[in-house]
Amino acid sequence: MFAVAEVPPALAAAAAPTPAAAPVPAAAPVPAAAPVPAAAPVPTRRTRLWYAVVFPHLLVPPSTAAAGAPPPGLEVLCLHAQSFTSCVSIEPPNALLLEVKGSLRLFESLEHLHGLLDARWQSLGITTHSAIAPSTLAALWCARVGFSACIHEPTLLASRLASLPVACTVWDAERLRSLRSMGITRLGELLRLPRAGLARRLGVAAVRDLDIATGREAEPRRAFVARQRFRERMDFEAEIENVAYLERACEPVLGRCARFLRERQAGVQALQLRLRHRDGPATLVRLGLAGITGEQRRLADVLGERLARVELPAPVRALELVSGRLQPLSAASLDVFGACGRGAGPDTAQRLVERLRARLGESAVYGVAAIPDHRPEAAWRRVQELLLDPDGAPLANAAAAAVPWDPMPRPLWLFDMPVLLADAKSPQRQGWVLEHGPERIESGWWDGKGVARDYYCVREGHGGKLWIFQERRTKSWYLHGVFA
Amino acid sequence: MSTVYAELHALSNFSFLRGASQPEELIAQAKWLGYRALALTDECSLAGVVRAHVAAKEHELPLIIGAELCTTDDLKCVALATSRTGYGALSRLISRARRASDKGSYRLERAHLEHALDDCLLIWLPDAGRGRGAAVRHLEQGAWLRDRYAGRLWLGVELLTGGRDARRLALLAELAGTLGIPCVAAGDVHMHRRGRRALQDVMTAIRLNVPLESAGFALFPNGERSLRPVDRLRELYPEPLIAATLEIAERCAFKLDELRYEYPEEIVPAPATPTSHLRALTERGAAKRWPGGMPPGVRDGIEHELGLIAELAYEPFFLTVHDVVQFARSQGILCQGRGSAANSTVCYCLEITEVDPSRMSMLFERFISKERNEPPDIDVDFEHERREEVIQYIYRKYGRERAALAATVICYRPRSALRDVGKALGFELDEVDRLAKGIQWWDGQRIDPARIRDAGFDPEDPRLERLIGLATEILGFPRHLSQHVGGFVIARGRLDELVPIENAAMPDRTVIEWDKDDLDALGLLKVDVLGLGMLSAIRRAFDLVNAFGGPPGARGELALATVPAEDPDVYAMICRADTMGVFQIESRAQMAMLPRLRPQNYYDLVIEVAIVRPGPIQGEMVHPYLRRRSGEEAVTYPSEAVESVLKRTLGVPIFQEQVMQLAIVAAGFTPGEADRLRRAMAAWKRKGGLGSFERRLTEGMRARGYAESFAQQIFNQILGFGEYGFPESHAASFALLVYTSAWLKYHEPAAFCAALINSQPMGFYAPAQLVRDARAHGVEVRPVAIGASDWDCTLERQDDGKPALRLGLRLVRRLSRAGADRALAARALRAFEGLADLAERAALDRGDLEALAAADALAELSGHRHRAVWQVSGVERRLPLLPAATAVPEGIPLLRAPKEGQDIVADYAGIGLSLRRHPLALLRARLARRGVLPTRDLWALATGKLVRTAGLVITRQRPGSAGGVTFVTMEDETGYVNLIVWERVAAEQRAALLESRLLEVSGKLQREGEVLHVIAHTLTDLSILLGELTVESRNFH
Repeated sequence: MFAVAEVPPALAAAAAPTPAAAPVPAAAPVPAAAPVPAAAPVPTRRTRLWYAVVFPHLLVPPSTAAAGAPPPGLEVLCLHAQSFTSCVSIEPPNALLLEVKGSLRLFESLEHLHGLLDARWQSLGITTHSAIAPSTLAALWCARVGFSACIHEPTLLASRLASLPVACTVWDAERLRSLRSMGITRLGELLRLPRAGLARRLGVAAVRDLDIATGREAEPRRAFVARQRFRERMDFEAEIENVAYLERACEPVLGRCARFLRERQAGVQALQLRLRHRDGPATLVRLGLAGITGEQRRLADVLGERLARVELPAPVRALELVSGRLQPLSAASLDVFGACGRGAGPDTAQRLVERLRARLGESAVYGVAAIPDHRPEAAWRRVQELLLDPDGAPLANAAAAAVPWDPMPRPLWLFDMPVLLADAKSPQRQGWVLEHGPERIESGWWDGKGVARDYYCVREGHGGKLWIFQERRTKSWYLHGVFA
Repeated sequence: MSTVYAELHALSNFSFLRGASQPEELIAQAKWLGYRALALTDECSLAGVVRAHVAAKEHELPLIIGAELCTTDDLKCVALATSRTGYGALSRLISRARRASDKGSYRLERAHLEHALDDCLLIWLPDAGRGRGAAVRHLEQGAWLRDRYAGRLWLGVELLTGGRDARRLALLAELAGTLGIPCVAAGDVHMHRRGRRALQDVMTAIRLNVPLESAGFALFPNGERSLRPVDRLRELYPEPLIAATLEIAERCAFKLDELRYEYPEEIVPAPATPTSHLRALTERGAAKRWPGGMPPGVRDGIEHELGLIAELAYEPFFLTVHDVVQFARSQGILCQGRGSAANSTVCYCLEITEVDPSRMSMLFERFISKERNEPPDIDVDFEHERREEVIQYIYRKYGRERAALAATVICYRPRSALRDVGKALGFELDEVDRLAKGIQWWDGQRIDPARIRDAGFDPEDPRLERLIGLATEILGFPRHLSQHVGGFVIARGRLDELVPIENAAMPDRTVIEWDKDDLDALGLLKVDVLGLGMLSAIRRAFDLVNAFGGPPGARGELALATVPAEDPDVYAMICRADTMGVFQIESRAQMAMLPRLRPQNYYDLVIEVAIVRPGPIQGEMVHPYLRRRSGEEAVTYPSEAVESVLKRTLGVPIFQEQVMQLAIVAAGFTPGEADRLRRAMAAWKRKGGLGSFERRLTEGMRARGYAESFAQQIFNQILGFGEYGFPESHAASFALLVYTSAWLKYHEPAAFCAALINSQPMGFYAPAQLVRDARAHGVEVRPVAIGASDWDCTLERQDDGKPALRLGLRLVRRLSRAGADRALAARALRAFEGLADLAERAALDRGDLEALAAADALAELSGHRHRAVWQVSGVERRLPLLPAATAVPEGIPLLRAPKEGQDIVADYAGIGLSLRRHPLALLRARLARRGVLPTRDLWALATGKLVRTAGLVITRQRPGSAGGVTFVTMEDETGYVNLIVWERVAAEQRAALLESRLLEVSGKLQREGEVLHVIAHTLTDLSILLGELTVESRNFH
């Protein structure tokens, strides 16, 4: 422990939060935690220019594709794109759309910008197709078929798109099949057809797509917002050597974190505090919470308990607080949030567990869940979540949970590992009295931890009741538990 | 030490997904452990008892027939039959419980146990509950049973090392004391040895549809539910409980051998007897068959047959079949009998068969044999689409208590085993899918680790090892009962007292719990009512020809009996292997044989049908026969006796019957032994066990002076025959249909092709090939058109009076039958004026209209296909309140007419064939650049030459007999080519072989007379070219 050092409280208060480094090298500063309003539509004006880029080899995990979420790889690529323009939108499954009109003044020409953008992907070693056009869909459709167009004028759209195959629209298979059976293969043929007839056959949405592509209708795009986490770094003017001071120095940043969470109606279940020293590796302090919370006091309580056990290897120059993944708050926790009450009920128990965990370590406090399994050692499991509601554990299968026979009693204390009884201590020689048994348990072969044992309840000389078994194969005796 | 124990409660794997051992395994193990007897007591089922019975006879272990029963209010007991009456009562109770529930389950009310199980003993199995509630329940159940089954009720005590056995025993003893009933020991056996514990766990998990780790306490805690050694049982149970098992076993004297089959009575009108009635019917038929009087010899034959039938009392069987056939004839359903008894003169007179015995004089040798005392064999084939009418007639006539279909036991196969066991072991669904899909239809009945590796798994991973091990163990286990294709059992009395009857998956169907092997083993008789596509096609062709105005030369009604016999032109066509669509001889193997065998008459067709079978091929009889036939090899016989058997096949045994007769005449087998040999032949691949026959055969032949080599050759032929030997009696009936269909193909190609298409699915070839073939034979084929087509393909009169084939709406994919019928009805009123008229009057929805447009069936109303599609897709979707779709009036925009390639692709998509050029004609230039030869050009090349060709893959075949060879038939615009793909090539190039639609092959040309093959070396999947064809005009330049 370092000696207590004088740290004027003003110091900590004066330490201004600095923006955290973006997770990927970015030319322009992108505030990761900056509260960009979610779902802000990009203002549309008459002539915008869109750069579309398609990553044909991007692997889309089926799970995210099904959920409609952008694949993780695309998010990273999006961050790259954001160094060219702030207005980037993700076009699942494998494309990005950039509004480049605004950035054009920074570059010589559209072609130059096009080249620079393409060069960025090339430098990453990624195969892409790209195109620039004054409409979102035109740019996307061109890029999808690898037509590296650079269309300046909206008036040129219809003629430049005419030769594209209709498949570039990625409309559903049914629509494309229907078009194919009418002999329509190119956009040009499609654009020649009467709108009303087309709308009747392909639906209004398809006709609207064509309007957007040809610049007859504008289409707003939502800009990409990076995944949210609270992350803030705080540099101290003087080094802090004392944990108590450290705790106080954390308060403002913790307060901002709580506000950040409140604004998003979210909570966290984990926090990470990184303490930086003059040299040597940073000290990492992880905080785990028993439940999801965004409440400052609870965060502070747990942080305090946790810091009290930290041994600082060196004085701290800066700290960085990073929140875990934001999770929606449940109604119950919002209640607590509002009332700030310390009433009885599950919440108290949760706080107790949090405090215990903070003191004894994350793994020292756990819940126990019963599992229907014949093997005693597999019949329960440690759980991180505390099931404080005894009826709260749903069982998947009633047949699997019902005990269909009359089993021997089970001891409350079960040894982690059965204890081998030396030959001299075999039950017969010990003169133990058999109370129940044998109960033969042969099960669990499927996970490689199969057992084949005969269990007995015996009473030993001092009146204690033991649970022992004989291994069927080796005939050795083991002590597995003690009855209370 | 004398044996002291009989197991009275044992489930086999016929308690589906509960018991983990075959009935045979239980019997063998019980015998080995020295049990006095074993009761097979599957859960509300007697499905496994015949197998157990056969095994028990073999092991000389007394078998007790019983069943475990559980009522809806959880009263559980085991019922054991003591006599035929008791067995009948049990069977009837099971039928009742099974019929009251869906397929595969049962519903037994407690009330049903009342007065239901006369002559049965009951072992009551109280549940494991303890405490007041359970005590009250136990007393109530026990008293209820005691009041009804006094003197034949025991309380079953099952001690399974659950930890509290002593307490359980005491509790049950007290309960029994209170109720005043005796106790008996039982084992709740689910497996024959404890090694099946893992499999039993897996089956439980499969049954509950959960992975093992979630199955929890539904799994048994240990392996005690196996057949345990008697010594151990004696440690567990008090002596009186064990002694009681023997007391019960002794009272259960019933054996399945006591079952006797009795034919139905009502087929004989009073006051006639079966004998007199059969004679009368035969005489009447003979007068019809031979209006000018019987040829000499026939009268003797009839007398001989009738005498034999009377002696064996088989009249009711013949009368039953006659009755079914008469019904079919009255409904205009074409049918044809086959089998040993079917080829008798009596059956010809009874119109069960159309095979004239005078054409087939050599066939009577294997009629019904007195010595064998086996039921006569008559299968009757009916038109496949109308067989159901016959089946329902049988149900109507005899009632569901007396008639039911035989079962087919559906067993675990590699795919299903991997799927189910994989799920139980916790594999992800997509993993299980990948594993199962890795096993192809051709991989046979085993799980090959190489396939597991192909699917991207490591077969040596312990998880996979477990999976493969258990899946292999469960292979062949019964999974559920399904209905046999047509084996009917009809009884005089209640059939459900003979064997339990349960519901089939199909509505209005019931099946018995035994399959045809079970019936065979007990000597019970069944009538096979089978469906045959070719009979449908032949009947349709007759109808088309007769309706069109009869064949040239006006022969009157065309029917099976009036098709002119032995037409040399027809045989000439057959010799050219120009037989696409002809029954049986259209397969590529048959086609390859025809130019070599060159059938010249009806009996040659019988041989042709039988010789291209795995049996003769593996027995290496094909080449000797061909050599002898062509005169390259002298026809010799080792003895006169053998000559009498083999003369008609030039000294080479080809038919199953000949092998058996050889055993009789050359090795001194009795007919009964020969029949056992036939059964063993059918089973040896699965079970082995021909060793004793080999000794007997070789010794018998040596004793009769035959050379050792000849004996060995005969035995090898028997081995080769295996289960694939084809009986002459069946081939004879098939040959008639071969000839008839060939005659139709030659003389009435348009009607024949139409009939085949109208009877789809059937045969080897799809409509695309059939139509191509018909056109190659000069038939004008007209396209599907809404103004001209019927649902079926029809004949239209050409200008020259010859029939043209008009394709029917049935070919239009995705067109609903109801929509088509409305359109046809509307057209009958007046012709359609346009698309709107069609849509409105026929009330067609957009789906039907689109289907018609895609099929190019609207050309007369809308012009080319693109315009038709544009028009129909503008029809408003049908709204629930509006009566029909309505077309919105609008102009038709300018749409390009489809290019030829587009039309061909659309034709295939719309009706599965095209009357335009073959797709490969369009690719020909491109293929030529790859050095691909058209198939027709191959004929000009010398054998042994390396060639490259390509075609659409039409069929892939991998016969089990061909040693892993895959046969592929490909088609291009010039014809067909057959590939031979050896196993090694197939394994290395599996993907190209299995997945190609357009396949390019490089290989060696092999030509033998008029048979041409390419031995494949390299296979290339060119399907992408077809894909390009589909999208050719969409390419982005």
